Amino acid sequence: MDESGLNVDGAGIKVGVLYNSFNDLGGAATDEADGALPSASNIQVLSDLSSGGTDEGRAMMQIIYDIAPGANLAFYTAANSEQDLANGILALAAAGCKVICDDFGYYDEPFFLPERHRRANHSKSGIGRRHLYLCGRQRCEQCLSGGLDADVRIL
Amino acid sequence: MTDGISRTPRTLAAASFRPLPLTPKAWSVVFPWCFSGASQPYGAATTNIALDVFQNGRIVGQFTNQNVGQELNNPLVVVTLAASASLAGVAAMILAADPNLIPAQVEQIMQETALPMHNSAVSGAGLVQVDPAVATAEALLAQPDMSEYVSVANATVAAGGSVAVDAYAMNLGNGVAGASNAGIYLSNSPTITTSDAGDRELRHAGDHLPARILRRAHNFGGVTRQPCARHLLYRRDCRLHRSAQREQRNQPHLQRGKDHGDGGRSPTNSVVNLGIPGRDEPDFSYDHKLITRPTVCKFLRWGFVCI
Repeated sequence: MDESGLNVDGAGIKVGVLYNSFNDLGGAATDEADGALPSASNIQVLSDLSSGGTDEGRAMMQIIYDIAPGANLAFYTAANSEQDLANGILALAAAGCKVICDDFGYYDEPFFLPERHRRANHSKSGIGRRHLYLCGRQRCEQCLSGGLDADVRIL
Repeated sequence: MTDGISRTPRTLAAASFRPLPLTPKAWSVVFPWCFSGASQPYGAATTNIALDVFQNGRIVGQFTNQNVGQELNNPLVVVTLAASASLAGVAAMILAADPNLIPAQVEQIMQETALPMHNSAVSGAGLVQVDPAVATAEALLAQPDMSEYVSVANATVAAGGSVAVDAYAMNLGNGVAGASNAGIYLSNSPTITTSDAGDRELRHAGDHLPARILRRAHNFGGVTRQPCARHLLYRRDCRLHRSAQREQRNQPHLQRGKDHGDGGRSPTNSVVNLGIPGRDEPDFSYDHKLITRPTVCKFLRWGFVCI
């Protein structure tokens, strides 16, 4: 129990992050060394942008680690394509992420039905019922209305 | 939980925003969808809304997608990626407290425990609060010990009949150190009343702890039955919300949970009356007269949670 009285630190929960890149700038090892990120064994990078990313996905993971230091983290780049973003949702879910965090957007996504949701939902495998999908797109009508099927819950 | 938290300023991987050093308690962040206007990853500095991170009610950090190196209290521009990441961390904490929560429950816990902001149209549920959220999840986790069954002489009870349950056998007569829960599960459309001259079995330990009414296990008690709306803690006898009643109809057996500690000193009896299925409305009564320190009672989708 910490000083705030909480008994938990996120242990046992894996959080997936979808954003542009994780380590294109090459600071991940430093982050892990200075405590900004958990050790590499607790970070699973499923797919990273090959180059040109700003590593904001790693920044998101730092925030998550600050709040839930016991949680495992996973990353999948969202910047390759809309289809790959949808694949990333499924991949993170398959990797055991119970919480998936996504703040990436594409200009040409339909307003009412972002491609990521449509493609992830229409995927044969789908996302398990026990995953929490946090989409940061404030104009994502799909998220606000909770219009996805029951397998994906949106905040 | 303090391990692994950087307590010194550091440079984030992305040079787009900079959080201040934080301790892992009493975080509050803005819901990610509470913002308007352009946001990440487009880099448009058109919004004039900052994402504030609170600790114990005080702003300790702000995020921006521009103005790298801005110090505390400078006006910054929102990045929804910080908000969604913060929410993800809180969600992980909630799920760590109770891994069996479904996503909708996690969502609602965060919403119900959030601090409302002045304009919900743009701020949504408000500022998510990790401490109350985790506390709520932990409260929901405190289910009755289903391994404790009370033997009842009657395997079946005729409509309108009754069955006596020895409150002492239910271990209700022993005070416990903290709040506890007891539950009775009945089959179709039951009516439950409990009787005890001293109402002792209805008391919570210490006679002052707030009630916790769980989604599947309902405290019982109350000699009389009165209609109840939402404020369980403020009514002496309350009737469960109808939706909660419906959840009970398929519970096939009568049992109880663990200690309902009361400070009672002698065995007492609780009478369970079973109504006519399909005709009698289930009627779960509560007695909260001894709860003198109600704190927060939230009505969640699956029932009330009081913490």
